[in-house]
Amino acid sequence: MRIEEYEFEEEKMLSSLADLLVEIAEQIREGERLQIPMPTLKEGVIEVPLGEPVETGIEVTIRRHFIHVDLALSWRRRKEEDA
Amino acid sequence: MTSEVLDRTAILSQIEAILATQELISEYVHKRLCAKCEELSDESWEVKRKEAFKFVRGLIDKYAFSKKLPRDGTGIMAQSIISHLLDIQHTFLRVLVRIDMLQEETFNEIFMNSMTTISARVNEMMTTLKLMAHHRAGDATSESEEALESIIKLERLIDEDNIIICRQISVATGGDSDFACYMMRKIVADLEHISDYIKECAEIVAEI
Repeated sequence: MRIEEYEFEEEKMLSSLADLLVEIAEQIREGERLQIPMPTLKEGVIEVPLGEPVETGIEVTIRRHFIHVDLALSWRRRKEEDA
Repeated sequence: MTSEVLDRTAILSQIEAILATQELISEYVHKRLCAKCEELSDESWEVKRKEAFKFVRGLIDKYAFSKKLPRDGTGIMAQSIISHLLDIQHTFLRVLVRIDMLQEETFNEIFMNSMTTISARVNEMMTTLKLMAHHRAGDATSESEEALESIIKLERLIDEDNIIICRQISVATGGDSDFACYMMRKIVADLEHISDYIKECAEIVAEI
């Protein structure tokens, strides 16, 4: 049984978060594949095929103690990759 | 429409009542997950399971006070707290149903320590949040600040535990997972989400 479902949850310093976002941005610009490090996955890196259009969701909540920015992206998988 | 409107203290005590029941659910979940530590007979687990589901059903009526929220900032903060409480109990319900899905299957030893640590911490967070609502109702500022700090600390610890447990599972299973293992991962993920909701809820309880 293979279930592909991963979640990224990690505490980062601002500079390493910036590195991660820049890396993601560059890969999206190329438009082929997105490699994301997953701290909880055995290989450490997950690779997903990119596709358009991308549905985006950005949610921001500002409170006295914390600021939450939730970012969600989704796109359709290309047909040939379903096989 | 001149129905009675609740003040801040009354709202907080309603919230505390909901949290008291949710705390009982989280206690059941914790004890069930570390069944080995408790060594209860199957029959008594069946009784406790029924109780836990009864608590979930009983919670619905406790939200009736929502009809009496003031039409101001306090009301808006209260709805935000209520929304988080609903997330918490919905996620607990999912955990309860998942525990049913596992049936009699015993948990793999490797996951036990981290999973029971997480569920113990979630339980502690629930207790702390309930006390925090109580402190806030009584304007015990320093106690409630302390409670918030300890909730924030526990949430961070759970994040760390979560990463450790996921790595342990990955190593132990080589990336593949069977049904029981997948359920356990999902239960851990749910518990971790509950800790996020509790923290977000505590942030607002600190402000109301």
